[in-house]
Amino acid sequence: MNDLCPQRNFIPTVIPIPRYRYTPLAKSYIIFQDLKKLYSLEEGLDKGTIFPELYIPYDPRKHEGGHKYELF
Amino acid sequence: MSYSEEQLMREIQKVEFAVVDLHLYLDTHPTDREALTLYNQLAERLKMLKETFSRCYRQLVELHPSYQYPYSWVAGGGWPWTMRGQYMCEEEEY
Repeated sequence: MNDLCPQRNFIPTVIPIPRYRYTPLAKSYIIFQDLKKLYSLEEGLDKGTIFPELYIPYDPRKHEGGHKYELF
Repeated sequence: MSYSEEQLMREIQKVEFAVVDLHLYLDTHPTDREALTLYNQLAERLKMLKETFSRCYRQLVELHPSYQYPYSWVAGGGWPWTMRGQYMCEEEEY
């Protein structure tokens, strides 16, 4: 009778580790921006930012065959 | 140095963009005096340019004084973002 229950013969193969204890939460951070050289006003308007360190145009050729995060 | 209407509009767009960008920067860097100084310089310049534009050509900012007669809001020369000669579509004639 109990064999009909699919849970009965289930043997867990992975013993769950309490996440809060062994694995830290994911953390993200960004580098704090410093004021450095700025673009000229003309160049800034054309490029969409006056901060050279934030000018990261999307280049599809860089992303062929998957994501590569090599920006600099 | 005097600007044509198109040049003055382009100058306003350049300065305003830089002011907006610096404003965003100052949001996260409120104690950066150098940036604040630059922001103030550009913001003053932007104010001056906009006043010049409205005195010389037509009202630019809504609800601001208009110095031209007859009154001209848009009719005088198109919207600010459709600067004549600068971004005009080549296929069409306006």
